[in-house]
Amino acid sequence: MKYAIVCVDDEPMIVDVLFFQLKKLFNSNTTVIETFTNPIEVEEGLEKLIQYGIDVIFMIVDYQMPQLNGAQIIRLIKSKYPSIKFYMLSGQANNDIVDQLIKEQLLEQFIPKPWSEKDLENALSQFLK
Amino acid sequence: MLEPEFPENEAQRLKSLKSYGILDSTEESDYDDITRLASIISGKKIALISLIDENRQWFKSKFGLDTPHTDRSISFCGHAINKLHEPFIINDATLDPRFSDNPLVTGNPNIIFYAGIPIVNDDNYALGTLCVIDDKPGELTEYQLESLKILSKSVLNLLKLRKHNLEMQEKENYLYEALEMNNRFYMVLNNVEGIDVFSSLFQKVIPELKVGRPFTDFCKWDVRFHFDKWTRSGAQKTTQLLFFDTLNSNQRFKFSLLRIGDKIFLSGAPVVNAEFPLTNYGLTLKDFAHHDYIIEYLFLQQSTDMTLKDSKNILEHMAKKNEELTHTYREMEILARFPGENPNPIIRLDYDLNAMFWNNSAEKTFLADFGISEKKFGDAMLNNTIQQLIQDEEYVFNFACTRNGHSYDITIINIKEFGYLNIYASDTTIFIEENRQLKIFYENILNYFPVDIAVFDKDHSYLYANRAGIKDEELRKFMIGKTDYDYCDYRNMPYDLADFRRDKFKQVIESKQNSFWEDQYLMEDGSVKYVERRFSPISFKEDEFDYVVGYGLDITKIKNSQKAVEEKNLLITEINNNLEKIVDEKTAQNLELTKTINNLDKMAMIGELTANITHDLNTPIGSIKAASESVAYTLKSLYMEALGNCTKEQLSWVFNRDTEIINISIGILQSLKEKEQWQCIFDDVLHYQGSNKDSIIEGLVRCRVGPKDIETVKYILEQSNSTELLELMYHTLVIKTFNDSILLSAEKAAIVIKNLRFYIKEGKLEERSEICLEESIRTVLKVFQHDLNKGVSVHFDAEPNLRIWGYESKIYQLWSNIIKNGIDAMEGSGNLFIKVITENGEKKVTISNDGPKIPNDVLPNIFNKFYTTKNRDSGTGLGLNIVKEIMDLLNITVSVLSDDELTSFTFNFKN
Repeated sequence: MKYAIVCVDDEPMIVDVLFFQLKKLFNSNTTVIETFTNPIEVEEGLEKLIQYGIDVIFMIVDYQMPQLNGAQIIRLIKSKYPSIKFYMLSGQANNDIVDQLIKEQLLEQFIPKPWSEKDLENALSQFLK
Repeated sequence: MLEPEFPENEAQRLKSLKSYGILDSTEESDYDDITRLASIISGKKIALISLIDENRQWFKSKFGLDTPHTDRSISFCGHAINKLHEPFIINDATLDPRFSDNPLVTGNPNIIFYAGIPIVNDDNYALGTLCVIDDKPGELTEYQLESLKILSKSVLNLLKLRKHNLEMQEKENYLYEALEMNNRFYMVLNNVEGIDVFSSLFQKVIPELKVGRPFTDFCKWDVRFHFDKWTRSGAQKTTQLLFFDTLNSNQRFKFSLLRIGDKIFLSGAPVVNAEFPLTNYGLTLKDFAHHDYIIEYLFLQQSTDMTLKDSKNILEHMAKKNEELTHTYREMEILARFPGENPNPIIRLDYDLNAMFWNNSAEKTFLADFGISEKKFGDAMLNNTIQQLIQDEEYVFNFACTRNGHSYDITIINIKEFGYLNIYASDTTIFIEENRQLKIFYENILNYFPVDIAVFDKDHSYLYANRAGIKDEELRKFMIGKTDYDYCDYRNMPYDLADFRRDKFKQVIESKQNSFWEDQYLMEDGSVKYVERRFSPISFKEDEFDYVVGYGLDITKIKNSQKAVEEKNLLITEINNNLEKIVDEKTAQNLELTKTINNLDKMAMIGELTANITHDLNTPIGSIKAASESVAYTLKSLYMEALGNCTKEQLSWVFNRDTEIINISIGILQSLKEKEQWQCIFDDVLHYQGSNKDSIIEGLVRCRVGPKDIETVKYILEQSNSTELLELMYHTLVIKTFNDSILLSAEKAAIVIKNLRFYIKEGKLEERSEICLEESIRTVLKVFQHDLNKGVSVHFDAEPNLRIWGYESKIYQLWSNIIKNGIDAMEGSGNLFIKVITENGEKKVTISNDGPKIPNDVLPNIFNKFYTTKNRDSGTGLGLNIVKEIMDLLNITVSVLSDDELTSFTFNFKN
């Protein structure tokens, strides 16, 4: 229980699917998965994880969410924890915003919905070696 | 012997003969040719041209005879001339008693035959004969006689020519003499070849003048040009004054040219200045072509290289000569000075008012009109004028007068030094008549001009007024020379009008600018007459003033129509403003409509697309649903089999749980929290101290078992393989959850497709079916779950199993629209109240939200097509209109209530 992967999506079904897909890819003895369906809770949740001594390696966030969108979360968290890497999973993200984020090196990769297990595996290949 | 008799008119005959100047003239071949020819034709030895002088016959030509003349008393010709038109023929003189003893017959030259043809001039004087003589008897044939007659005429013609030449010569001589005596500037040119003669006065001024040199050698190019032009033209005399700039002196001459025979007479006068000294005397240059005396006088006065004494001497000399040579002088004037064709009367008078000279034109009417004859100067008025002129020693007097219906413009020049006066008159009768007719012509025009026109002198007195200006003929005549004050007096009017115009007039005169104003007159019928008036100062020269032209234009009609136009304009402006408003509104509506139409076009396309998409999607979605249902069934069977035998409770604990609420992908934090809770429950409530406690708790948390399910947990703990059981349960739950997700997603997709079907064109409606109101609403809520989760609380209160008969997709569409509108109105957070009830046998659905009130002015419009209160980007305005259409289709009525608390749509379903 040393590393964590964090998923944020306001759609519970997406979170469920991501959860099981990631479980398959990562060793559950060393890597835990944390999920949020309410983006407002993310910041506080991350603090708790750190209190528990868990390192967050990367986060997968949706773009279209109530109150805070994916880009806002990325900027918020990156400003506090620059080492956390981000992936965006969305069906309707604005291309300009995504381009801007990648240009600023805030975002690793954009994964369009719908996605397959293989897509996810390819995207996260740097963590799977 | 018989001596010849003298003709009756002998004295006149002799005078006439002498005028030819031929007697004792030298031999001339022209005449000798004739006598020789006469001899040859007649075949006689001697032929003579014999001219009968007072006492002798003199032979101008003698063929076959030496004697120059013989006594008239013995002459044959003396007889011959007494019968003017008959030849005098003696066939044999020895047989004729009149001549048989004539010494010319008896002695040399022995005249036996004689035939004489009289030479008779135009005045019927027989000057002599052409005769043929022979020393033997003979006769003449008719042919010979006729030939001699012709030759006789030729002699006469030669004589005529001679006389003419003589006259010319005489005149020329006279002219030279006169010119010389009068100290004239003259020159005689032998055509263009050279100068024949020039007067001494000329030489004095131009010393280089030389006889035999071409005239053009002494003048500048422009004179040469005019001179050449004139000589080539063949004209007799110059019609205009030419100027002669000499090459080597600065003296300039005016001159005129006259052609006589092959000679050109140049008569001129020097000028100091081309124009000014002359016009000082009230004459134009034109006059001087014929009045060189004036020029001469001017020259004498102004010439710088002549002393006063010289001038005086010349003048005295001239005066003297003038007296002596009156006759010559007259001729000279006719030729060189006052040509007869000058159309203007010219008269010269001495100081005793005796006429010294007048020209042909004066004779026509002028002399009679003014009672002038050779020694009498009759007209008292002219008389007085001239006397005054002499007395005052004035040079020039100019005036106009009329006599016997002839009008004259008269200039009198007093030439004191010569002691006479020149009167130059010009008959202006025709011009005056023309002027009079012109005046009538223009007056007629002006009188029929519908504008007031008046002309004022500088004292503002009327010089003229046209009929429009003053209608009354008598008043119009009266007003000439009067002012507007006189007019006011005449009309018994106050002086306001006259004062006003006087001010305007002064203003115009001072400023030299046009002045405009507008007069208003109240007419008897109460209407107002407007007249635009103007004063325009007229001047012919700068800084001078001649008269003022005033006009008045009746602009009443223009004014009135202007007013009418202005009124109309106001009206039009108002209409225009309204129109603009309307146009603005319509434009806005049009824009809106265009946008909507564009949207509709898109919708139509979407409709086409969705028709295909829905068809293509329905089948796979149906398969997914069916497959998912099979999975659920199979999973349930497998789970039951795995458990061996299990209670309904145990089954429902797994299968009837609401997976929407349970989050099986529990995060690490939640899982730690729940594990702690279970630890307490296991320790404090269950007092379970088995070695597998931790793995059981792990399993419970994973399976999302909460403390309220403690009874189920107890059952699991009783089992020997409780850990495995929980593992099975977890996996079953996971499968079930995902399967539910699949089913729910498929259902969502199905509803979306059903909603899309609305956009499919009419006529593709599905079959009517029985629809449960509650279920249909719940399905729609599920679709919007995502939106609702963001902050909308749904309060659903439904009477179960209320069913209606209708189109399922339309009903979905209906709820979708109302619920979506409600969520939008609340801007994502608030309360949504849904009631499904029966009231008075009618099924009613009320959907309310606590969003903002719909404004009163908007409320009546909400079901109109394209009406939207949302911002332009988020709404097409079609939503509630769709609701309306669906209601019409399904026979549903709606009532809308909106206040500060709630906005409610209540739908009544009639059966």
